[in-house]
Amino acid sequence: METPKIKLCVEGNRSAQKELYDSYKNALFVLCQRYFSNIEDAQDALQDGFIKVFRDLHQFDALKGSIYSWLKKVFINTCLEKLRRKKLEFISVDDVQITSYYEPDVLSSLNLKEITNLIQSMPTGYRTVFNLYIIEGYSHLEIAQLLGISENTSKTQLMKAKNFLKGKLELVFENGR
Amino acid sequence: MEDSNNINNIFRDKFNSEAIPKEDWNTPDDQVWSNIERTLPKPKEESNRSPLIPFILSLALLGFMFLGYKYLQKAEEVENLEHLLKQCSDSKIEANGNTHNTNQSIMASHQNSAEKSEPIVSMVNQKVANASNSDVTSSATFKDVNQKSNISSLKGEAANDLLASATISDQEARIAAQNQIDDNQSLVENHDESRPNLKIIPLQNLIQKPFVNNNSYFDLNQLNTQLSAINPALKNSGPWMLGFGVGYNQWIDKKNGTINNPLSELLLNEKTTPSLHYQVNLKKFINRQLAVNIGLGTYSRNQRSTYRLSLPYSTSNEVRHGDEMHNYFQHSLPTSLGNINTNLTLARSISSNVTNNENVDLDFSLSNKIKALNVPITFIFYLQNSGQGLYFETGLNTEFIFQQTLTNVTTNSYHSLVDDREMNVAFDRKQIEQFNFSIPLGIGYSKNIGSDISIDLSANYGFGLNNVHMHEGFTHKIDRISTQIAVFKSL
Repeated sequence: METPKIKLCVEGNRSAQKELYDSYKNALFVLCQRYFSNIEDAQDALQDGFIKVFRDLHQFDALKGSIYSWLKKVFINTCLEKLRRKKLEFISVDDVQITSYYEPDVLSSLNLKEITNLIQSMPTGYRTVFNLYIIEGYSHLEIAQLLGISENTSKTQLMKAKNFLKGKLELVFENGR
Repeated sequence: MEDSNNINNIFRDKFNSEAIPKEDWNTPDDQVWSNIERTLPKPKEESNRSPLIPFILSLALLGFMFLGYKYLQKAEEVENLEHLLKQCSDSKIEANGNTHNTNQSIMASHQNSAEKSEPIVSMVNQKVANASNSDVTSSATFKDVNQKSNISSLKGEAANDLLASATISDQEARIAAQNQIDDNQSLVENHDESRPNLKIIPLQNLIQKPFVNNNSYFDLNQLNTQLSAINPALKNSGPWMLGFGVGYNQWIDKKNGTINNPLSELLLNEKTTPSLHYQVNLKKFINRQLAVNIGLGTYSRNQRSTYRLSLPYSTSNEVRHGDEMHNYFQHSLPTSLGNINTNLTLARSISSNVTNNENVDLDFSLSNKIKALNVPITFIFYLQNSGQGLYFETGLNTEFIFQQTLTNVTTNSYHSLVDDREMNVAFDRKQIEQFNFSIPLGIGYSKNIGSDISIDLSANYGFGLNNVHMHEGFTHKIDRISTQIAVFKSL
């Protein structure tokens, strides 16, 4: 989206705001779905995220990055805030069995909806750390700070998430997708 | 390890693409946009709060006031004429009766002395001639008085001559009167044959009192007093006056309605501090009792609001920052800058013992400052028919806000273990009305302090007409008590 359109959004132009919403609603709805197991929570997060976006859009600096990167940050924070309110719980893992990850070829054959469904099926703690580490690219230290957990908890939650996915993938392929 | 990285990349690539195809499963309900739209401020093009509407209304109001004034002025003129006609009609009877006889007898009794006082007579005649030349109104004959609307409109040189004539001794005047009657007699007779034979009373007799009848006469001493009381700007035919004023403003916030925000109940204190204003005025006298004043002034207005917030500190929502744990809060508070959005960070030390959802009380204060230009257009009604003294004033004041800023944002936590770490405030300038209107009602006193210079002291109360910021179901009008001292110079 070009800077003049963003400026119009900041000025409160309704059609420009609708255009911004339409341009990014699908990508950001997928992002929200990755963080929540049900569609209602994801829609709530999408709504809250866009309200924040239109409120804080004047803070966006095009020199510091693309609008999509900025939007993603806003939506990730919105999702985490919402999860915190829902009392995000992390399953304590003392004896994590680190097993091998699944095959890249298997994963590539899945479409976006199937992968999203897989992620949604994870427990909240696994899913959150998995999203932040694997997809968003945060480090374990950053995740620990963001979620108020220890670095070690972040690592073990990730391992658990990977194992969970592996099991799910095997199940999917056994059942012929 | 390499496989693991590849898999991570597959995930990133799949989800981090901006261009995700639109499918049913990733398309949110239309209701989501409707809900978002409901929370957004009304777009400008849909707003019916255009400043044009109050402007048009103001212009219409001024138009009506002007037409009303014109109507009253006309009615007053008609009344004056009627009064004068009645006076003249009464005088005509007198002229043919008592007064005529009186004049005749006075003139007869002084005929001899008139013959002996030739030099004085010529001097008086010269004065009469001068007065007649400078203004028809000051002509010495009763007939001419009848033709003119009002003797009180004598002004300038003619009035001075007339007043000067009043100092001439009784005897001199009566001698001159004799001559004037002789000179003007033929004029009257030739002027209108249909009219009754009207005796002409010379200027000098006009000056003496009583000169028409017992019920109605012109007292020139009184006229002299009246003339000296008139604002010199009016006497010197310069009804425009330019002035500069300094004033002191007290602001009164008037709020009504409810705001759908529980935090609004936590407003501890809100105060708009008094401020000075500076104003240039242009005053136009329409007549001796009515003037229009147009001003251009500037002032600033500072408002400080203090809220007492009580927030539950959640230890489960904390985020670690070094040796501290942070908790974030977002609020929307109604202020005179409209709804402001706040981002508050509360912090505690990792080692501190704070229980989950423990209340943290804190004061949050913010100051906002507006700078404005104001254009008052007021009508001034003088109690005396002199363009000075006590007056009342009313009209319309238009305020244009050209700058609004947040000047000071502070927080102060009362919790011994939880500190206020950061408070950011954002507000939408579009929420603030740029044009505000008020109706001032005031009283003042104007005094001449020298030739063409006068001092005005005035005080007025301005009733705010519109909401100073947009907020559904809530009105915030600002009234203004203003006192001003101004110096005017006639142009």
